[in-house]
Amino acid sequence: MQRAETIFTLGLFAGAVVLLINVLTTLNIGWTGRGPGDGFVPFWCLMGVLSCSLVVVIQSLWKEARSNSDAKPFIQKEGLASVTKVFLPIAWAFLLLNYIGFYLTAVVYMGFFMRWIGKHNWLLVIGVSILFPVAIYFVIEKKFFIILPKGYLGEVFPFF
Amino acid sequence: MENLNHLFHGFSIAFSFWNIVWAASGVILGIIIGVLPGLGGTSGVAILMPLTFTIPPTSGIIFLSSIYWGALFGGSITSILFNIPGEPWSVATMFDGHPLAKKGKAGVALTAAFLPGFFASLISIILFTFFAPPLANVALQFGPPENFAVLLLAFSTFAGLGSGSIFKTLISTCIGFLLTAVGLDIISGHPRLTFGNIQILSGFSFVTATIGLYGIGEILYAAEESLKFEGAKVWVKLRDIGEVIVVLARRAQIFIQGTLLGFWIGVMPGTGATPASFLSYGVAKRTSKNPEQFGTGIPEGVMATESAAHAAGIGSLLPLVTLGIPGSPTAAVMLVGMYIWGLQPGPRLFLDKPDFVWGFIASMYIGNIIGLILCLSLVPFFAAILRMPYAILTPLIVLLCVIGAYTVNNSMLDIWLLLVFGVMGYLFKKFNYPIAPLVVAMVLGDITENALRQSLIMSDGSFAIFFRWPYAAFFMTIALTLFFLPAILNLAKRFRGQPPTATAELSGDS
Repeated sequence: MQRAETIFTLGLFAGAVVLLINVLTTLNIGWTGRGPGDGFVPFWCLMGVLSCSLVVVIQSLWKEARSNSDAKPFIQKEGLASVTKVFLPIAWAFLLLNYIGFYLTAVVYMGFFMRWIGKHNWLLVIGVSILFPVAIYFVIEKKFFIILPKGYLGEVFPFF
Repeated sequence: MENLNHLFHGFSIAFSFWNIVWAASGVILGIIIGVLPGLGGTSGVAILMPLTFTIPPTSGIIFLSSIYWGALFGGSITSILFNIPGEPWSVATMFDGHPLAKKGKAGVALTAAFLPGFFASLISIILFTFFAPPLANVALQFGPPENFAVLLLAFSTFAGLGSGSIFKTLISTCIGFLLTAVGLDIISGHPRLTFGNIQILSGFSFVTATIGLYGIGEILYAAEESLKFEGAKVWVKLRDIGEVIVVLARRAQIFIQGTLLGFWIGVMPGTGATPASFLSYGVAKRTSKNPEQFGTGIPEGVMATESAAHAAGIGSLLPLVTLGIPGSPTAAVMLVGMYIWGLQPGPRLFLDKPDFVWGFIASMYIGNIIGLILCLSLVPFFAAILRMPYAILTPLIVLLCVIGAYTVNNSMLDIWLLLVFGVMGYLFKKFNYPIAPLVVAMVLGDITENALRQSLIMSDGSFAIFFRWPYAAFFMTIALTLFFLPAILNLAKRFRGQPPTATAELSGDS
């Protein structure tokens, strides 16, 4: 746990270094004729991230050295499996959204998740995964006039 | 007297048919969100916020705040019946609520949460009604240095009163500022931190960030610990209500102290219901004649936490309406909403949008009455919500998040940002980095930076302007004191030879 936290914080540090180079090369961090330059606040915020993340890293290295063993892992194996199981379908669904639009994606994603993770019977899976998008359509699109992503399919079939 | 006239006008707005419908549906959704342990009130407000984009702002704020009231009521149901906090602010409710329920007095425990919670809300709303206008009047005289001092106060309360590591809070705040800096700079007109990318020239939307960090982040975090519940059949009986009223009358001190403490903590920017509930429980225990009874299942313990949590919930909206800074993470999400509705939160609201402000204040009375009645009468139904299968709830929330993120700009980029922010929210939670400072910095980053730069232009670069008499100096002093408070306390402890301890785990989503 401690080690993963250190790596994460080092990641933040590295990100801040990249941004700092960008700020220093493109923005004015000092005084201009009209007050502080556009890089003033970003520069000091990056300084904040850099210095604080160093402190956090040192603190967690210190804790790790004192406890002498990394007893608590970042994440239990089953935990990792279930986070992945939730994350991957989300990522796939977001990708799918680009192609087949919101409503079909919703049917596919809900159906897949309910069947694969929840092991619900097909009747419930089909029922919920179709009824929910239909309800969304009537509430969001008809009542609130919000148009959801249509994807490439939407260009062919206007009702999507 | 003038306030009363305004309030009556507000009631005429809040009592319109549609506003009642919005309040009632907000409260019901809020209770459901409160009951579900994987879903916090802050996330709930964030996920449902996009529904308000196309309705009038007054209905919007009534809906969002009603979700908050509902979640405040709902969180205690799960804590008391299942010994699992439905919300972070109902953790302390478990201490006495669950033992009491185990003794067979679940009805009393629930009533001891609902009734004092309701009365605390009522008292707080009355305080709100009479404190808000004078505070807004004072705030109207603020210039850029005063605004900056107040904003700094909002950020420093996160650092000073927040949980664990002050450095992590600072990192989170700075990242929020950096995220708002992305895009065109208003003053110089230069693109900042865009790396030549045109798509992000207009900057990141804080709505997407809020929904991603709280909504998707919490879904991923909750995935790790799969929770299963059995429904519970409990009704609140009239006898339970009578029993609680007797306790309430006999131990009025605990209730009043919890309410005032909660309200005060709520008004302090950045904190909110969660620290208030812990603090009130601790104070009630310390001032009690028989502190050993706390934790064994006595209604007083539930009363202390719930009255403080509800009072803090109301109090946290006071600086939101009067100064434009959020008193709690949930209030921060509502702030996001107010910007989306095209309002400029802050003292001018009282002058420019009296219908909005007073309609909202009046709706607080109505929302809490609806919450109390629903909770007392429908507890078994709300407890049954816990049987809602995880595999249905998760995709449902994800899809709501997608709708929310997409609605902001109608752009697919926001959907991908949603995923990025979701992963970030998960990692932040995992490594105990607080999320709320980031969100608040993202929402308030632009106006904070402008206030800073305008002040420095006014003073020709001298930082002394931030200590301008009287208000700037006042807020600046409090801000700096709060910021360095943990360090001072630790030093003091060290001098007395005690090992320094981190501030208790108090803050969180509230």
